[in-house]
Amino acid sequence: MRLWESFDKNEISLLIIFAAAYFAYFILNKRVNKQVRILGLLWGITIGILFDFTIGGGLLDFYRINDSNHYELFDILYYLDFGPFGFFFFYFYETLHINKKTFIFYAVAWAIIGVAAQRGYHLSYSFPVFLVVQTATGSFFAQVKKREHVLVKN
Amino acid sequence: MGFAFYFFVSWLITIIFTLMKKKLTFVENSFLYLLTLIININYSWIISFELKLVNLSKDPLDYTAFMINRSIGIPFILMVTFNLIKSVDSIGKSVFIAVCSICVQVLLLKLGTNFEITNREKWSIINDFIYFALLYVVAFYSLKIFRKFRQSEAISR
Repeated sequence: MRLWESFDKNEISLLIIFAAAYFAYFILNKRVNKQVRILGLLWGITIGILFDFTIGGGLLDFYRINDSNHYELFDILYYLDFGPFGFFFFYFYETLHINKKTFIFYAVAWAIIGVAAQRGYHLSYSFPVFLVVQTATGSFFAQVKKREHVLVKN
Repeated sequence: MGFAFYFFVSWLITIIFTLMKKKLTFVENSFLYLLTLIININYSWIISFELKLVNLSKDPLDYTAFMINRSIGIPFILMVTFNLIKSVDSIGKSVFIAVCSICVQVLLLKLGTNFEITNREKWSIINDFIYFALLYVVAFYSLKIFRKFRQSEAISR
């Protein structure tokens, strides 16, 4: 496995996002049920990997991760970056008391954030992908909420 | 034919999972699914696209069949297996269920060659057994740790 094709702004921004996102994750996660916080992380990482290895490589190769289509060390960091955002989606869904009436705004807001954070990927592809992902994440979290206490006492 | 077969297997295992009496909670089953998916996607990518030990068909339908088995078939078979293991009381029965499940998983991969979805000339079936055995062990212990994190405190809103 190569470490990176070229170390530039791309790799630096991944490192900054990684540090900032996990810092925020460890600050916010204390109020959240331990299983749910782990599931949030895992959900974020899985969604990133699932989409990239389904439509971002192989036969359907719509875009490229980092500098090449081969696995690089920074690709792992890239996928780990998704983790806290899965958790943040769960966390703000709960703390902002998102319900059936506000869910549309919440999902669209996250899709816009996702598009704004992307580079080098056509808007007409990424916006629908983000909308599907946010809707799936919301539906999944609604099921988790039905069965588990999300916020717990420290 | 390959597409129809893998679609049927994935449909069948999803229905079995949906209808079966589950011994693991929704969150635990979700944890297992996500973990298995992460490991399995990376594993199949590395052996096929990075190391080129297993060649995949370029036919869109065959490739989709591979994707369906990778993303639905394999994780759901593992989840059904773990729920069954949880419902039996002896280690012997648990090991038997796990071994049968691993054999089914390996057979499903092996059938990919017959349907010309994969070319496994540079790949030994022993590697598949080792991979699934390790996958099941990792999933088992990860689930064990995950279960320890179960909390039942009241909501603090």
